[in-house]
Amino acid sequence: MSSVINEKPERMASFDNRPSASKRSIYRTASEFLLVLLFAIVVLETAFALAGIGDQEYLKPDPEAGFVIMPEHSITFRREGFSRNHFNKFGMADRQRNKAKEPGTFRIAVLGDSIIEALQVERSQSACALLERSLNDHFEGKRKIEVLNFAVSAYNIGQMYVRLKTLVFDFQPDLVVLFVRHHSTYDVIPQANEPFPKGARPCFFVGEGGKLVEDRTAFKQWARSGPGKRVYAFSWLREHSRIWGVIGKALEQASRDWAKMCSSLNGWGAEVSNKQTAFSLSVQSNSDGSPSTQTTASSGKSNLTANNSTVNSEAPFTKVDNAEKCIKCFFPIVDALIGEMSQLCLQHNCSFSVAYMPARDSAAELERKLCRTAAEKRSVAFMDLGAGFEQAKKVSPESIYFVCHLSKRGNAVLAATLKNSLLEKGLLKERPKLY
Amino acid sequence: MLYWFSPKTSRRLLLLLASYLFYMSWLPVYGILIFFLSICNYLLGLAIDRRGKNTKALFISGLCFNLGMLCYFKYTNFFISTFNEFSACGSTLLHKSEIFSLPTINIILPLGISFFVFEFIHYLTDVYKGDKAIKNPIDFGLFAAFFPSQIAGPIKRYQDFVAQLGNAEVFDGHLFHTGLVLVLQGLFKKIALADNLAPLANAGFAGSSNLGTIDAWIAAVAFALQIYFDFSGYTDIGRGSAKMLGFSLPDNFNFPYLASSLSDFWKRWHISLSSWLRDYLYIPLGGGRCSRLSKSRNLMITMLLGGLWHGAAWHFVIWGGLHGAGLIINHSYDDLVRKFAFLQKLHMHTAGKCFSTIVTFLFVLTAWVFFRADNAHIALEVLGSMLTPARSSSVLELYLQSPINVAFGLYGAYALLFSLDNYRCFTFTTALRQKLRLALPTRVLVYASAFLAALGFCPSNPSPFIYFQF
Repeated sequence: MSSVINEKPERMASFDNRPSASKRSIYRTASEFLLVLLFAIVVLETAFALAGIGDQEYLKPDPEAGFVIMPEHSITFRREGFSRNHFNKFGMADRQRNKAKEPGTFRIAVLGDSIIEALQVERSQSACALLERSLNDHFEGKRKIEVLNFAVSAYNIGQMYVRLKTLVFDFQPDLVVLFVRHHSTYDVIPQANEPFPKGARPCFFVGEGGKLVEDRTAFKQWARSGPGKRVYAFSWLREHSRIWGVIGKALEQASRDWAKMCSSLNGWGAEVSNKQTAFSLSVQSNSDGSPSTQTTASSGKSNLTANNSTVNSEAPFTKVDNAEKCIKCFFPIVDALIGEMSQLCLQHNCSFSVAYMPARDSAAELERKLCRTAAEKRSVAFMDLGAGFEQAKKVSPESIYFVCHLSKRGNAVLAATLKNSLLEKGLLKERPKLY
Repeated sequence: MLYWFSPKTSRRLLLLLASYLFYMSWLPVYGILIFFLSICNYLLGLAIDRRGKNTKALFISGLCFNLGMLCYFKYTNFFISTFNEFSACGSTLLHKSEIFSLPTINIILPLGISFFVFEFIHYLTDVYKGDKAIKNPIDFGLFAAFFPSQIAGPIKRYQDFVAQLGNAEVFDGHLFHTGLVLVLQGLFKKIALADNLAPLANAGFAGSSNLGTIDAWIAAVAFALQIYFDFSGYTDIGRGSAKMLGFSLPDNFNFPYLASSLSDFWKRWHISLSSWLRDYLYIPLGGGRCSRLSKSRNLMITMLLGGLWHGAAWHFVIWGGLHGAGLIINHSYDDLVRKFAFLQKLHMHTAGKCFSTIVTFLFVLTAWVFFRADNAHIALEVLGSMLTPARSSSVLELYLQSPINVAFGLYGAYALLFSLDNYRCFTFTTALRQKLRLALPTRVLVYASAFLAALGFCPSNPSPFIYFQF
C-alpha cells in the first residue's frame, strides 16, 4: 500500500495544516460529524420542503382498510400534472370538514380511487369541488350541497366498502356515490407479493349463499413480511421526513430499473409494462361462459379457486382472451360488495348510487353491463358517465386525461356529467327522516 | 478501487479495457470502429514521425480519412436530404412532375465521433509539425478511447495526456478528493439543474406558435442555462472521473455568461473546442494577421464549420453564422475602441462592463434560439414572441411549479464551499474550508448530502445529455 498511496503529495498543501487523525480528538470529530449531520438534515429538509420534493408518501397502513391517507399531510404531486394539496384531519383529499352536518345541508359522499381523489390537479379543480360549486350555483342558495371526497388512491371496491362502514356514515351523508371504473374487477383480486400499498389490501370473497366474506389474511401476511415490517418501522419517517421520501423514491426507482433490466435480459421487457401481467391469470370460467356465482380463494397465495375456475398466478396470461373470463369470474365479488353497500346505506337512511367511469381506450362493455345489472337488480341508481365523456371528446380536442388520470378539463367534464346524471335521476331529493 | 489496487504495469491496459467496455455498452459494434480508427491513426502518426517533413501526402490522406469518416457517419444523410430539397425546388421551378431524389441511408451516429475525430486530427497535425508520435499502442489507444472524455470531450491534447500517464502510478488523495467534488457537482448540474430546465425549454419551443412574451423569454433563458449546466455538468463528471484516476483533463467552461464580449465568450465556452478551432482551422486559414477582409472571412468560415460540427442541420449552420458575424462586428468594434479614449474609459467603468456583459448575453441568447429550434421558422417565432407583448401562460406556469429556483440556491452554496477555488473572487471559500478543516467522515457526509440533494431534485423523466448527439 505504501507504494500506492503517497502520503503527502505537493498538491495536498491546502490540507497540510490539518492535524493528523491520531492527534485529532475523537470527541471533536464526532461532535463535528453530528453538527454537520444536523446542519445537512436541516438544509435538505428545508430545501425539499420549499421545492415540494420527497413528500410523495401519503398512505399509511391501516388494519381495517389496508391503508389510509395520512391526516393533515401535504403533498406536491408531479407524476402527472401538478398540484400542491393538503389532506384534511380525517385523511380525506378534501378541505377541512366537520362530521356534524349543518341543518338543511345535503351531503353527497363520493367513494372512489385515484381518479376521484384527483391529486393531479389543485383541490379547487377536482371533480368533487367543481361538482359542489356547480350544484350550489344550480340551486342558487336555496339548498346547500356538500360533496365530500372519500376517494383514496389504489382503493378497490372492497376498501371503499370498508371506508363506507368506518368513516363515511359519521358524516351523515344523504347520498353515497360509488365510482366503479373500467377494470375495477381486477382490483378486487388479492395481489400477493405486491409492494405497499396494493399488497396490504384486504380481500373479499363470496361465501356460502352469496354472503360476503371479509378476509384480512393478506394484510396480516403483508404486515408480517419484511416490506410490511419496514413500512411500520419507518412510519414516523415516512410521515414526516422528506429526505426519507427522496431515499424511498430513489430505491423504488432503482428496484424498478433493476427489474426492467432483468426482464429485458430475459426477453420479457415488453410484457412487464403490461399492468395486467402483475397478476398473471389463467382462468377457466364456467362451461357456459356465465359469471360464476360462488368464488372462494385462499388469499395471499398464488393459487385461487373460483367455483369451477382455477387461477394460477404462475401461468402465462393471454390478455384479450382472459380479460373477459377474469371479469366474469370475479365480478360476483363486486356484485356482493355493491349489495352490501346498498344495504348499509338503506340502514343509514341515505341513497346509494353507482357511477360507472368509462375506460380511456377500450369499451369494457362487459364490465359496464354487469355493473348496471348489479345496481338495477337492487333498485340502485346507475349512472353511466360514458356518454358525457364521448360528447366532451367531440366538443374539444383538449385532452381529458394526463396519462391515466383526469386533467383539469377531465375533472370539469366528470363534474358536469355527474351533475347532469344526479339531476336527471332525481338523486338530490331529500329522503324522509326515519327518526 | 480496482484501478488503484491493480499492479502499476497493468493499470493502463485496465483503463483501456474499461474504456472500450464503457463505449461498447452503448453499441458493441462501434467498439470496432473506434479500434479501427485508433489503429489507423496510430500507424499514420508513426509513419509521419519516422519520415519527417516529407510526408505531406500521408498527412493529407490521414486528414481526409478522418474527415471522411466524420462526414460519412454524420453528414451523409444531411447532404442527401439537402440534395433532395434542391432537387424538389428545381423540379417545381422547371414545372417537372418527376422529382429526382436519393434515398437516405440508415446510419447510427457513433457516440462522440466528432470529439475523437478532432483529437485524431490534432494528433496527426502536431506530429506532422514535428512533435513526437506516441510509440506505445496502449498509450495511444488510451488517448483515443479514454472514457471520461470519450463521449463529449473535453477535446484533449495528446502532449498533455501522455505527460500524465506517469502520474497515474501514484495515488493522489487531494486529486481524488477534487475529482469526487467535481463528479458530484456535475451530477447535480445535470440532473437537478439541466433536467429541471429542460421541460421549460421544451414546452416553449414545442408551442412556439402560441407563446406569451414572458413564456418566450423563460424558454430561451431556460435553454441557455440548460445547455450550459448539461454540458458543463458532463464535463465536470468527466474531469472528476479522470482526476479520480490521476488524470487532469482541460477545463471547458469559465462562467461563459459573464463574458464581456463575444470573443471573451469563446474563451470561456467550450474552451477545448474553441481552442481546437483556433489552432487547427482559424490559424491555418490565415488567422487574424492579415487584411480585415481575410480575417473576417477566416472568422466566418471557422464559425460556420464550428456550427456544422455541432450537428448536421441548417439551424446549426445559422447559429455558427450568427456567431461568425458577431465576432466580425466584435473585432471591428475592438479596433474602434482602441482608437477612441472615451470608449476605452467607458468599457473600464463597472456600468460599461455590466452593459457589455448584458449585450453579449443577449446576443448569445438569440443565437441559442436558432441552435435549439428545429428550424429557422420556429426560431423566428420564439424571437418574435420575445419582442412582441403577449399574455403568458403555460411556460410561466411550468416555471412556477418547477423546483429549479431552490436547486439553484443549493448549487450556489455547494459551489461556493467546494469548487470555486480557481476563481479569484471566491478565494475566501478556500480560506473558510481550511478554517473548518472537516474530518474525512464529515466530508463523506457532506458529499452524501450533495448526492441526496441531486437525487431529490432529479425529475421523473430525465433528458439525455445534449452534447451526446454531436
